[in-house]
Parts: sequence; structure tokens; C-alpha cells
Amino acid sequence: MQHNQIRLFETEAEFHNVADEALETIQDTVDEMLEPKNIDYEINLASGVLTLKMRPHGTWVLNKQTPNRQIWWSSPLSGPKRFEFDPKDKLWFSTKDGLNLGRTLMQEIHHVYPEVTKRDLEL
Amino acid sequence: MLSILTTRVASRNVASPVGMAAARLIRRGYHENIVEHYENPRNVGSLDKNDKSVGTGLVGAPACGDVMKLQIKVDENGIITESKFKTFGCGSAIASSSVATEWVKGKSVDEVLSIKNSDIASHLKLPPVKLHCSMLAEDAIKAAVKDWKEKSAAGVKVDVKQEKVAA
Repeated sequence: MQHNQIRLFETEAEFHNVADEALETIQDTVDEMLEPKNIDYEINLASGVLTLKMRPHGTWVLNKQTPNRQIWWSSPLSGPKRFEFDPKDKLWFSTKDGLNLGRTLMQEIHHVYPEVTKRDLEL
Repeated sequence: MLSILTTRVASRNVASPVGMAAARLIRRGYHENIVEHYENPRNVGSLDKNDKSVGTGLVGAPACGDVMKLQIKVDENGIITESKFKTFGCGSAIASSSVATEWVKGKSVDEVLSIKNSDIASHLKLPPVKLHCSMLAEDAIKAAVKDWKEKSAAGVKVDVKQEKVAA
């Protein structure tokens, strides 16, 4: 599986482009969803690591795992997951449960803040 | 815990590198369970991978930063009597695999399949970014059991063939 992943992205630079865009989109979307609701949250994206604190549940960490072209996810609700990119659907799918990254994140944000409407996050 | 460690360090004429490292870890906020497994890892070593009662699980990749080898020795009742590990990686990875070898001993090969990464992570109070280490330890246990089962099944098949030839 690892070799196929590396072949999907012709260059490492391509992986960084796609993965960086995913993390930036997540940051923007979370800000759009939570900021207007006066919710006490914290989000930071730096050096390929996205940290999202949603109290009182804890901290979510998403990071690029360049050697195997994955995005790694850590959640206080669902634990660790790894997401791999499907170039056909242009979505990142969890190797554990087959859910895509956008839906996984939306489900958990909605679980933490039921008053926040889920979005269709195409990631 | 920090005061105990610094006393230990101070009482030696030459500061122990391990004691100093542990003191640094505590200051950085590692839970004492992790420091304990890092300073005194349990069951480091190897079992004979050619022994048919031994299952070997090798997981991870050097490029990712963590490689774990976890081995189990299983008796005729399917109970794990011995376990050894060798891990290349961070303190959390070492501690996670050390805990794994402790927890599998005395259990059956089927029982250990229900050891979850979340149990290891909460025992060690792993920070979010290190949950992946405990996942790897869970994978290592499953890989070791799978290897032992495959070796046992292969053994049985060979015996059956030999019996048929003898008849």
C-alpha cells in the first residue's frame, strides 16, 4: 500500500501541495464555522501541523506524514487515524474505517458542538 | 518525582546520563509512567524467530520514525509465556511497546487481540501527537499473534501431509 501511495504523487512536492491545501482548507472552514458562534476554540497551522483545541474534549492534531504520503490524525474522541489520498475522488480516506477526512472532522465538530451545522467538506 | 531524580543525580560523583535524561523528560512534561518505561524498559531483547512457538510482529518504517519488533512465546495451551521487544523510535514508542510486552504475558493469543491502543495511551497519558505510537504497539501485538498462528497452521499442514504419505 505504501508503494502505491508514493506512486500516486509523482513528486514529493505534489504531495505537499495537495496535503497543505487540505490542512489550510480545514483551518479556514473551522474558523468560518466556529468563530461566529463565539465558541472557545483554538486552531493553529504551522510547519505542516494543524492543532485544534476544542474544550473540554481536548486537542486534535493533524499532520503531514511525508514518507508515506499520508495525513495523520489524532483525536480525543476517535484516537489515531491515517488518511490516504484517492486521486479519482480527490478525497482523503481513513485506512481504518474508510471515511473521508472532511466527514470525519465534521462529525466530530458536530459531536462537540451540536449547535454548529455540519458542512459538506470535500476532503 | 523531580526532587527524587535530582537527589539521585546529585548523590552520584559522575552524573548518570540516564538519570539526567529522565530529569529532563519530567521537566518537559512526560508522565511518570512513560519515564519509568523509558528508564527501565521491560523485556528488551529477542526470542528465536525460528522457534515454532514464537510469533514475531514487525511494524512501522524507519522513514516514519518508528519501528517496533514485538515477539511472543506461546505454550501448548495458546498462552503467552514470554514476550520481548526492540523498538527504534521516540520515548512514547519505546514505552508503548514495553507496556505491550508486559500486558501480553499470561494471556491467551486471542485475549491479547483485544488490547487497544487507547488502553496503552491512557496508561501512559500519551499526548495527542503520540497516540500513533500506541496504535503501532497494538498493531505489533496483532502482527505477532498473526505470525504465530500462521506458523502453527503451517506446522499442522505439514504433519497431515506426512501422515498421508506414511499411510
